[in-house]
Amino acid sequence: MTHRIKIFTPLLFFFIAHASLASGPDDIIGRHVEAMGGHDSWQAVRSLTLTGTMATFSVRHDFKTVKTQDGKFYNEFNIGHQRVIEGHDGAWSWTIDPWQGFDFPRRINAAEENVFVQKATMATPFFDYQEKGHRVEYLGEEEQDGLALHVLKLIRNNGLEETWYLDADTYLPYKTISQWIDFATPLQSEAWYEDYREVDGVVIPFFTERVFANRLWATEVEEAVVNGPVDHSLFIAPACPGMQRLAFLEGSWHVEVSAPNRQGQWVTIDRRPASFGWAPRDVMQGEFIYGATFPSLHRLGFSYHRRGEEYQLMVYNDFASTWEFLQGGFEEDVLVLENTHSTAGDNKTPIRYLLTVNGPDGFLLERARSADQGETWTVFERLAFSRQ
Amino acid sequence: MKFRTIACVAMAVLSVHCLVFTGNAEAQGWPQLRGSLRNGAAPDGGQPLEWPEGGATVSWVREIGSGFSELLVDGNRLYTLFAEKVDSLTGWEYVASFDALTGEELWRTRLDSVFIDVDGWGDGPRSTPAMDEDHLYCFTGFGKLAKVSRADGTLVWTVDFMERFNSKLPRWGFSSSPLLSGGLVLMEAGGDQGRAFVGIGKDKGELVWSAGTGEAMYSSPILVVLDETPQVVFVNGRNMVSYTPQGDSLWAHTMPIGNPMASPLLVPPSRLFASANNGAGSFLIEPGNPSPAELFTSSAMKNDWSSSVYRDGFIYGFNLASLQCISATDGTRVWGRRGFGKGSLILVGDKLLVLSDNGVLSMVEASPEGFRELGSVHPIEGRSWTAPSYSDGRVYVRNHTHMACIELK
Repeated sequence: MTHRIKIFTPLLFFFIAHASLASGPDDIIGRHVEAMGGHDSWQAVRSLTLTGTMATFSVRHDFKTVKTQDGKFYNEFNIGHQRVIEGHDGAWSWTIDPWQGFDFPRRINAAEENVFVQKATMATPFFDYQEKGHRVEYLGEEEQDGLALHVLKLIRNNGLEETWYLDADTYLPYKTISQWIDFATPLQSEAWYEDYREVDGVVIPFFTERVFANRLWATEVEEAVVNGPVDHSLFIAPACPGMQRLAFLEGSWHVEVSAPNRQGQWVTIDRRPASFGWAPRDVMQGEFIYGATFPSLHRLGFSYHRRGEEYQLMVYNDFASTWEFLQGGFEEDVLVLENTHSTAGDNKTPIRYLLTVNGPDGFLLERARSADQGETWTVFERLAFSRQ
Repeated sequence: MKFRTIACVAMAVLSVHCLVFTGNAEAQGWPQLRGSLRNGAAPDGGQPLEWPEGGATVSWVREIGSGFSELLVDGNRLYTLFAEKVDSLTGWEYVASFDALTGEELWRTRLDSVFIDVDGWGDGPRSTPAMDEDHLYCFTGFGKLAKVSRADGTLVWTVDFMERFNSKLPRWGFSSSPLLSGGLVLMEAGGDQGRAFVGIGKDKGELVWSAGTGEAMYSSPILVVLDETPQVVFVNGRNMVSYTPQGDSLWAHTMPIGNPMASPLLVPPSRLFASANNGAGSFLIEPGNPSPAELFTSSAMKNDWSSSVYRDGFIYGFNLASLQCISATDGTRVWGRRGFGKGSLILVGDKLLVLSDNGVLSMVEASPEGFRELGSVHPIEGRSWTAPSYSDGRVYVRNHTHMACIELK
């Protein structure tokens, strides 16, 4: 009897193991998703916020990660002494990375995009993997560190491959091998996951160690919040500090245009709607039409030249079919922009724009010209904006 | 001259043999980088080290300036290098002595301007001094070798390597630690005109011999006896080179790794192991002729800045951030354990004393049977990249802000 048990027990395990392989990776993936909390639990997760500490170069700093079901992503952490911020607002992905010398948001490259995809994955990537267009191949069983592991190749919908090692006992991820980045350059990384805890029905690793090249990132989650309040402005790349001063322009406005008549008295010549918005993040673009007799479209684009530390304004007039290029800065609370130093556009006649802020819901844009090459200026048009 | 050479060789053989074969290293305390034998190991005096019941006692914690130097121990005296900044751009590097029982500073001597790390990983000296009976030999971040009295810190002589040998300042400062042999201080100088490696007279600080090419990097030489020949082994670039302590070239090997920061390790009786976080990762050679044979290369051990230790056929070290045991026969991985960050370790008898990069000291069985932690204590906080020192039941650890003593007996 004892001998029979000795013979049959390994055979039983053999058949069970082969039965699980025979059904392909989906059986393993099913158990894996179940181990991570199950399909329904993850389906109910609209947002996940993780906070804790992250060690890079053996220095620990706070980190914060926010992910949403619709793919938005925000991550704030340190590399050494530099605070790095990265985000995805659903349309474009950006990073502020002083570690690489960029203290303003920049668009990420394809290799970084792939890392963002990994970071922004809300649940396990195997959750609804077929619907997302991923493919999976079962590579067999392997033993590492005394653990029996199922090895899966994940081919993401972007074509990039990752190797996942799932604990054959718990079906939780033990390790992954995937493409990562260092100084915006792709390279391979290995990550290990530990300390799985259940939070509101979903299971999350509270400790992750990632190694790429000779770098080590160790992340310890202290708090995981499921479906907590989310500040959606986090996902949007902030404007550069210079342009933040003009952020109030965003929105819909009424513009009242006035000009001096022949007697020199200021009279209203037109009233129109106007709008300003970011296009892209560091350009504030406004558009309005005015002119009762000969209406013309005016398109304004404000930007801030970081190195030159000056504001720039491009103005297009479709009636004259001209571009004006103006440069300048704030003089106390008035933004003064001129084309006197510019070699671009129509600068035969010196033009000056003065933008004066009148509280949060109004501003005045004055146009002036000079007959003496910028020595003196005469205002010839006033555009008073009030918020709709 | 011949008599002098023979006498020097005899003395070197005698001194190395004494250390290696009499097991008398405990009496030596921790006199230089990586201990008496420069292999990160200290004997337990026949009394296997145990983790104290009720936990280890942290006897004292003291503030100290920044630096990566290990703490030298001799009886009740500690010595080390550190830096203190005056403002964001200036400051000084010091050698100092402390009471090992209390951590109280006994004296300090200013050696050089502070080396400021542009990358922000830590200012101050990287090198660990070496001591003989009466003096300390210290190497600053800007490459000044200084001899000072152990009694009161009196400066005897200094040699400025950048001025004297035209040595180029490495990105993270001069880091190699002095090695004493007979009447010489053996140094990786990184100088030009065949002065990559130098022997400096201990008495007067004069250049006795120089050899080799290549810039100074971050590894330190070791003194070993191979085939009954005492020899100093240096690594720089892709070169592992061996000289007699008197500067005669013995052999050279082109390494499958580049610029290791970890020290080479003797795998008794006659093999050498070296590891780096690049190339093949690690390798073992058997010197014995001008072109040593490579016995294995292994990607299972990639030492970053901390060096490995050897015990009974196995090598223990940090494979980047995983504490790992590999076979010293073929380099295969035996076990690994994560969670220490990029830590450091030493061997005391049959135990590993492992310091995590966050200042947690753990005692771990040095056994191929698997990872077994016997206890841990957290005496210092923050980036801890300096390996512990051990002497007579006490472990000494430091980082850029504090040093501490932990009683294990």
